[in-house]
Amino acid sequence: MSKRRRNLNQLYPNPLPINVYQFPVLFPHNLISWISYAYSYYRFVTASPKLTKSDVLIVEGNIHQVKDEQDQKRLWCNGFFGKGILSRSEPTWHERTLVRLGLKENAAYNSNNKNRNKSKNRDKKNLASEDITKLRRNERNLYKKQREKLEQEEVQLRKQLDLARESVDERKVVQAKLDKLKELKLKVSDEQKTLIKEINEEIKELRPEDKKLINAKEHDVNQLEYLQLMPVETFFLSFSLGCVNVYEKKEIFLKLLSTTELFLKSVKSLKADDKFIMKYVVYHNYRSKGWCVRSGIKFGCDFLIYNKGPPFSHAEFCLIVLPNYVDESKNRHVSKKFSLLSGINRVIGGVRKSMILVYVNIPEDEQFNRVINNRNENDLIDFEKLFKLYKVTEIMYSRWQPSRNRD
Amino acid sequence: MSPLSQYVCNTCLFHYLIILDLQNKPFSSRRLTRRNKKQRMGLLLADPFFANYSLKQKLFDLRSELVQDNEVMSVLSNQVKQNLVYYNLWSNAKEVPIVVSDSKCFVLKALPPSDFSSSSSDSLNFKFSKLQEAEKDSSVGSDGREEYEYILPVDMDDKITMKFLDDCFEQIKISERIASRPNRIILGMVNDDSTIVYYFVHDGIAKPRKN
Repeated sequence: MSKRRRNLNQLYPNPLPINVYQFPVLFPHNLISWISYAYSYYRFVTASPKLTKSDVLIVEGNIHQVKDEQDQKRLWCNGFFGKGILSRSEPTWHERTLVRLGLKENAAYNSNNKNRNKSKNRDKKNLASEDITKLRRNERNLYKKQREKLEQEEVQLRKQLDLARESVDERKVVQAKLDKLKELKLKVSDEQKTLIKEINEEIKELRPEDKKLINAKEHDVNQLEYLQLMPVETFFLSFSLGCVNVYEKKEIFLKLLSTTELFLKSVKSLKADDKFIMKYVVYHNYRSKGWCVRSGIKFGCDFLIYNKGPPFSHAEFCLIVLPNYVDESKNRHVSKKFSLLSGINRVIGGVRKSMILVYVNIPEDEQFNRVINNRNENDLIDFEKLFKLYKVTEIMYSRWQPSRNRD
Repeated sequence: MSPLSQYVCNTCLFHYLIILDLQNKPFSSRRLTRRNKKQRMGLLLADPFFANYSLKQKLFDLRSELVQDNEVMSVLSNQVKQNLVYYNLWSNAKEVPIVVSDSKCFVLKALPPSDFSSSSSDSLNFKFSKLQEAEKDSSVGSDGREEYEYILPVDMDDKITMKFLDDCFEQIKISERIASRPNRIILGMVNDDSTIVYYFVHDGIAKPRKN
């Protein structure tokens, strides 16, 4: 486990896609500190790789694409930004498809036939996470089919039982049932073993869609996948870190967007309680506190926050973003019902996460408009001033059962 | 916008991109084969502002655009279709244009992979399964035994009413020319991080799935 952790730390060393240099403290009266300072400055100038900007393209439908492979890798490996559109998180579709179509041997199948039969456990470890999920689902499906069969038989047996009530028969029937159950267990475990084989065999059937994909000349599959960023991610990378160039299609040309333009494109309406601004405030808050923030749509909440990142551990907390107005009547209007919140909490509790209600204090319209309208000579909004108007308050929501946990 | 300019938009990242037709043939046909396109087009790139870009890397993968159909369809249904076909491995995906509440939208029609877990046998009431089968035979008819699923792409911010869903079922029946409304449709909800969450919507009561 610790070895794996060390490996992950090597793979994903930086929490953000920027380079940070730490200079030693400089004491003006101490000559040695001057020397060490000069040395580290020299190292910084010569050896350090220059900060490279990634390119984000905004296309129709507000989809933020990162198409360049190196850019994708940079954003994923340093802070886990974005999601591959055809993968669960990291863009691995191309690799997976090559294996699925039999154009490339999976690392797991590299060993020769003799080893293959023996090293199934190891094989499973080398599969992509999507494949492991598939394996589990297949197992579950097979098990379900078996169970259905067994249950039908059970119904029949019970009918027979009703007809013949003699005790000897009864015993026989019960015995038969037990045998069936044992058989089932054996069958299921057998099928688990053959599953990896089955995945391999599926390759033979090519869908017409797959044939379209294959580039026969180059023995390759056309890359369809790109990394997609959430609008809040793009804005964070652009405004806070300044490590992306954001482009937008303008007929034939591509226009480089300024941070203000990106902001105006992302908001639905230029109001203090715009959903994008609220989400961004929350996103920025947790990112700057070192959390890895990702979309929480699968659990019915706004964000998931990871301690370090998805490969390291599961997310611990789910965030729900809610507004908190100065005007209490507005609050009453937008506040969620407890039945809704407890519903979400049940889902989140089922995956062992805790729900956090994140209230964003919304500034008054007057203040908001003053900052928005007070632009500098380049027509840029002072975002630092704008986001200083917002404040974030958290409430942890958890279910308490008086009979169970009394402390 | 003409198909050509659309194509250019899809593929360029540069400030100036000029497309030369090497054989001087007009781009009349909307669907060019992959090879045709490659042969016919020469790309001439001029990039005064971003000269340090490595051109090879920054050029968007032309091939990836070519695989997609050039048909005019909404961004949303395109996203769902791509997810279905290349992530969930469904096949024969087609768009069915329908008109719901006076607005046009697309419903996708596709075949699930063979291991699709929730097939009709375990989601429908066991008692009525024979009845259902009889019905299905008449409704599927010429399509053969395969059962198509209908997927309605929706945005996260869309507000969906019962009336809207009811219209969808009805419109699918009309535009697909099938005898009865489909048993169920699938809502494909598209999130801003490209996650797509699918939900069944049954037309009437359905037996809950066993876990």
